[in-house]
Amino acid sequence: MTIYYRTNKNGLPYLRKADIEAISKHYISKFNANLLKEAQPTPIEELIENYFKLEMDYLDITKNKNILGLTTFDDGYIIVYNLENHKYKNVYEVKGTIVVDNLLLKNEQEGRFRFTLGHELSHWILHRTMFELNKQKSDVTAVKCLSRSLDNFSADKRPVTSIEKMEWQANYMSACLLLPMQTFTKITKKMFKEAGIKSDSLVVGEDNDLDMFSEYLPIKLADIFNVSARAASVRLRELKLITHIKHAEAMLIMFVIVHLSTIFLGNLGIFDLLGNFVFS
Amino acid sequence: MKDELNFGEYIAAKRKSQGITLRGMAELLGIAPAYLSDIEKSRRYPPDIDKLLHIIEILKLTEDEKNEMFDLAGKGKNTISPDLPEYIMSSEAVRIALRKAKKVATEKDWEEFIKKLNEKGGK
Repeated sequence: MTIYYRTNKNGLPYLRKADIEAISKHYISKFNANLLKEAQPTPIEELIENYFKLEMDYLDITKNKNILGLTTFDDGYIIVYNLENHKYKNVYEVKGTIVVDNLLLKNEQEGRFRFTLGHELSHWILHRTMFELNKQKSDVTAVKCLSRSLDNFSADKRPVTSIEKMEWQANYMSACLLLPMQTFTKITKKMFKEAGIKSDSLVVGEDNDLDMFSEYLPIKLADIFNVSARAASVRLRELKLITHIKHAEAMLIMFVIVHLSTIFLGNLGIFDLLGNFVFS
Repeated sequence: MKDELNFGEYIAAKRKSQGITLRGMAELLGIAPAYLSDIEKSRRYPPDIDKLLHIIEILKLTEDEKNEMFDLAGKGKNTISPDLPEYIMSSEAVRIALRKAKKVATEKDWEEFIKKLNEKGGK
């Protein structure tokens, strides 16, 4: 499957959400087509180690746990922290290694662990060409992911810098891998039907019972797909299965403004505006 | 090709060929994933005989693979293959034979002895 995309001058690909969904679907269906038919946890570790044949490592990466995952794009040393003797040390890793901090191996961190795995794998899939292109310019051999980037996977804040865009892409793809659109949508709509909800989308802020259901829904989905409730919740919003009334009103206002501007201003700037709209 | 692998690489290769993940293997062995990772990447010495036996069980190694693994485990620690010391110390006859062989046995003597043992049958 070929997806043609432009890159910026640093090699960072311009990818729309639909592109990332397609790339994700491609690999999942090649790994195990059943994952797109029946709702179940994505076996992300097996995908990484058996399909992509990447190396895994578990270390204490930093002292204060602000880096939870990293992916290497070349053979080389990375600096990690040794908790035993309180010193930083060099660790050799081969190209194509995903390193995860030991913190994420605790039982209650499983959702975060799996999301981080998806995130790092996404860097490998989407960004290794970029690193290979920049090899001469810089000796950076790995991408290190701050915990605040990994946790910030809501679509509220638009990424601006190359790094923010890269992290956004990896977050979005992780969600696509762990919560495949096909099965996630299918099972959510099934649950809507069972709850007597007629529409394809649940609007929050109109009805108390529906609001309560909207709180329960991500927890149930998190259980089925073995992710955090937060990840499920964000995915529901991304796929427009749940909308918040304030957001729905804002979208309506935007739509009206766009419509009015086309009438008064002609086609000037319409596509820029639309581009913005789609992204948010 | 296999002879060029060290202990860590060897067990990593064996587990990967069976599609077992690093964390999965660690869980089966009852050790921390970080510890197993250190062993596979030769940041730590190969483990002791108990863990080695457990590895053999999980990976379902054949007789030849078992011996290969034991030898690599020994080499990895610059010591004798861990499956041997117990046997050597278990019987005086074994030690007498080994000490004598050290003095006078040739490679051919050993080949003949091995042939005799193979004829005895059994694993």
